[in-house]
Amino acid sequence: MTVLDRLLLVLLALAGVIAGVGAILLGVAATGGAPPAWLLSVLVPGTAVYWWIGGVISVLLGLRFLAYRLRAAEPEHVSLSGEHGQIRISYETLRQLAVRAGRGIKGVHEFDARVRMGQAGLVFYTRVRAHPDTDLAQMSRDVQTAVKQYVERTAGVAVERVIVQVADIAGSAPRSARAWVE
Amino acid sequence: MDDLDFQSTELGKIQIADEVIQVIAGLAATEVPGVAGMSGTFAGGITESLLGRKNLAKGVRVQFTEDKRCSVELSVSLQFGVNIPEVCLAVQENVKQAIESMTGLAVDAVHVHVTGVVFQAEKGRGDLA
Repeated sequence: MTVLDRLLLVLLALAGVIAGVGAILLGVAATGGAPPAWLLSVLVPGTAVYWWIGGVISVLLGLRFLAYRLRAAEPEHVSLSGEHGQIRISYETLRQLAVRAGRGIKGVHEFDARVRMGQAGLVFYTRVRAHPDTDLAQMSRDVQTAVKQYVERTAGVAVERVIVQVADIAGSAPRSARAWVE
Repeated sequence: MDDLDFQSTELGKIQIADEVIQVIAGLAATEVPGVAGMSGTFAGGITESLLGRKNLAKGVRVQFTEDKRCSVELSVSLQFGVNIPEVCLAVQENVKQAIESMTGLAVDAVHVHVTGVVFQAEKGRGDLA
């Protein structure tokens, strides 16, 4: 979970607290007590729109974390069995290794990677921003070899495929959309 | 978690807090060459920064199974360039040996979770902080 996700989660928790307090006060009002002043102010045209916006944001945040939970059900690590127990290597570790190996290749200006589990091993989806005047085909082959060899050697896990996407050439204006080949 | 009732003598009971096992495991893991440090939770990291005190039990979970037996789960970050399975095997061996020799508990399993690699520059920054 990223720092942004954690902040969003705090916001969602605060929204939950506010909604809970509101529900309690509504309940109190429904059972005969006087409705609180702020509750009446919500009903005034002009202020209700803020509650609408808050409600929509809360629903969106809730949906985001629901999706996060469902996605997190798949293991985000590779397991190896050790002599005294399991050894788990997180996908983030494997990604860092791939990025380090990829950045060392001649012609690579920027490099990023994603990791997924394939049928016979790991699959790396890499995204490269290349230097100008580079033999892109050769550089891509070098990236594939370097990532596969380095990850297999240091992490001891099989790499099934390394998919290279040359997304951009350094010096040209970077595109805002980040495309990945999957 | 309740402390482990380790032994009862005529003079009284001997209890070992699970935090003791966590600290032993954490120290044993970090002294293995190639281990950059332990990886704790986000909340643990904030607490550590606020208190300014190093949490030696960070990233270690201990589960007592049967009588005088336990299993340990460690979250570690490793230094860049090391062979991950080799370092993890050394961590398992060192942690098991340290707990067994210092407490007399039998360690059933030491599960190691590698959460990241640390590059030399990052480690230097971390040491300065």
